[in-house]
Amino acid sequence: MNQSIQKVAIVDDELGIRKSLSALLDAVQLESFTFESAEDFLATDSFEQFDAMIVDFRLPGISGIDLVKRLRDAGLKIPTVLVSGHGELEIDHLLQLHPDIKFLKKPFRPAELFAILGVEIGKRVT
Amino acid sequence: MAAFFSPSPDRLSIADISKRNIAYTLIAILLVTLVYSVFLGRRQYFKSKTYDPADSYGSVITEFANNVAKTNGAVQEGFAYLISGVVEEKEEFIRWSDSLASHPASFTQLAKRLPAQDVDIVARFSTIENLQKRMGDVAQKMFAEYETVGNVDLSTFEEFELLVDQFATQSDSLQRILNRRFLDADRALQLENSLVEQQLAWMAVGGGILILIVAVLIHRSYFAFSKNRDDALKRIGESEERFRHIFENEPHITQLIDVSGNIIEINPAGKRRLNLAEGKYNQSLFQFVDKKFHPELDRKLTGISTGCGPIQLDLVLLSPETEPFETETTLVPITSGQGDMFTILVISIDVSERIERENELRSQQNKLIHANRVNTMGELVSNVAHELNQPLTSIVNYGFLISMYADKTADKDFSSLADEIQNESVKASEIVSGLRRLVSKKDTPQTQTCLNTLVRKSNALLSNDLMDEGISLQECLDEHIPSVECDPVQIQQVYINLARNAIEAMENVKHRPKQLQVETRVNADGEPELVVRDNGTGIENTDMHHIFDAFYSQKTNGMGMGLAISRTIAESHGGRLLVNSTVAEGTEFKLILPAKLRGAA
Repeated sequence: MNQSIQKVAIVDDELGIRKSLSALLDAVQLESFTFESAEDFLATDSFEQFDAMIVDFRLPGISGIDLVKRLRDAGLKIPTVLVSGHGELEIDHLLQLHPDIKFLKKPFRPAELFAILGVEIGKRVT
Repeated sequence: MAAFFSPSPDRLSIADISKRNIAYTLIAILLVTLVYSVFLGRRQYFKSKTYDPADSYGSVITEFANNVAKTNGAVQEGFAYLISGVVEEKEEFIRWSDSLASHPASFTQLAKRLPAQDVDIVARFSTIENLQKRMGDVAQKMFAEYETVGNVDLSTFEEFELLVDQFATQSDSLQRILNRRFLDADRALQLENSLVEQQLAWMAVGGGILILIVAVLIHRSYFAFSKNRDDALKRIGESEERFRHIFENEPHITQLIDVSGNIIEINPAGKRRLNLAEGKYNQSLFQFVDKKFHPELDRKLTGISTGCGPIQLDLVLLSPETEPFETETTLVPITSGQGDMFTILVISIDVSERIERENELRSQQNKLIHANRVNTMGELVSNVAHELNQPLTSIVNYGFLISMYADKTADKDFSSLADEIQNESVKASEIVSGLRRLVSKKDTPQTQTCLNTLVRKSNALLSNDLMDEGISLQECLDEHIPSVECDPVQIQQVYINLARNAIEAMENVKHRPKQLQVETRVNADGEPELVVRDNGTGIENTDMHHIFDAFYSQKTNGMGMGLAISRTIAESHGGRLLVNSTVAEGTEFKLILPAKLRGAA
């Protein structure tokens, strides 16, 4: 992903995840916006402001994968990182269709996320 | 065979019996009449033979005339003596006169022989006899005068002449009376005879009519009887035909045996099952029964009697061509009409297939139960893993942040400690993942499965529940649905889960018929779908987001794993499980499976 990423949307129903990811992004001077559900996210009109989004695969109501599909179907190619506690078969299918979508399995190492987002942190990845 | 099925001897109605009684009564009356006629005839005949008034009159008249003639003759002799003096003439007269008293046919004797004693006639007879005697006495007197005086006193002679005249008059008169009586009696006899003849003729006519009536009645009742008999025979024939038809077409092994077990008759189904050649069944039932069951069968056959009802027993039958097979056998004693003789109808229902089916069903249920247990465990661990992964992710994140800040402050020790937090968290996560791998069945066999078959098999397992709850099942199965490659046990578990939920959702439905609809179809994207629809209470909006979550249940006795497992199974097959529900109207679950199996597992 390109270097100009500034604003990142976080869609996850787990409060703990939202908080820790926000803290993580703050630390590398990225602006984070958190949403509890896909519906909440879709309720904001200005998706275009986001340079990237981190979406949990399993969400109550509209699932993460459906959210991503909808945005893509609507022609919005926001760089996306899907995260999930499971290795989901459906994700393989989606990733085959859209190779630019990245997937991280929880728990992932922050370095992996930063690598995807193209953030230089000057930190050795262990 | 025919004699065996005849249910009873000829049955005649009460009407027939009373008709026969009438005929018998008439015959009896006829016989009595005939006997009486013969008796009457005979009596009449002997009566006319032994007592004929005309005959008695005849003989009396003849002897009367003789007597009169003899008297007249004697009188002539007497006169002749008086004229000629010839002594022989006088002696003739004396002989006649002396014989009067002892004469057997004297007038008074004759009177006693008359058929009808009447005082007038008897008196007349006495009068004539008196005249006779007086003529004798007066003649003696004349003879005495003639012999002593040589002359007859005129007065004496005149007295004699008067007596002779009186005698002639009286005898003539009586003669006429007797003649008349004779004719009267003869006419009466003729009349009586003709009357008897008439009576006999009437009797003959009456008898003839009676005979005719009886003949007609006998004829009619015979025909009624024979018609009844024909009808009865026809009915027996028809019922025979019906029994024969049932026997021939009975799908179970049906035999007719005697009390010692010899087969008298066996139906076509039985011949086929026991592999008997046509006509070759003069064998014992025991030959076709597993030896282990011989004592029981023997006991049952010994104990059986006409009075007892059907006897049930389980028998294993042997057939030369196939495996021994289990049957439920019923023995029915059947009377064959006469006395204590009876045969036994043996109906054996082959239950081997049913038992096999039951075993299959049971093993399928066991498979499902096992799969359910494994899946529940898997789901449990998977959920624990998922839930643990969330805080672990956060711990890693925070560890990373601490390490980053420590780097900035150049506190190397602090930084490495923070790194350790991350490493250990990742390790913990791996342990959880390992546990998940351990319980998840990665290598479940994937086979080409027809969803319709799977649904039908499962419905057999559900049928009791449906019946208990009074739910009607509607199957709308698309016969052209393509087969799916899946683990049939897992998909069946999803279906049964959904169906059970549907049944429970309709538990409190009161005022409409409970309906469970199962539909298979291919959707617009060409993917096979399995839809389970109920008209139950529906799912509240607040619950909708959580129904697929593990440990989330609205049921008092539910673990809250069913839908979570179902969704996992759907997703592990590359499919989806969707829900659509309206409160108070019902719920629809849709399992969508991929049209083709994805390339790489």
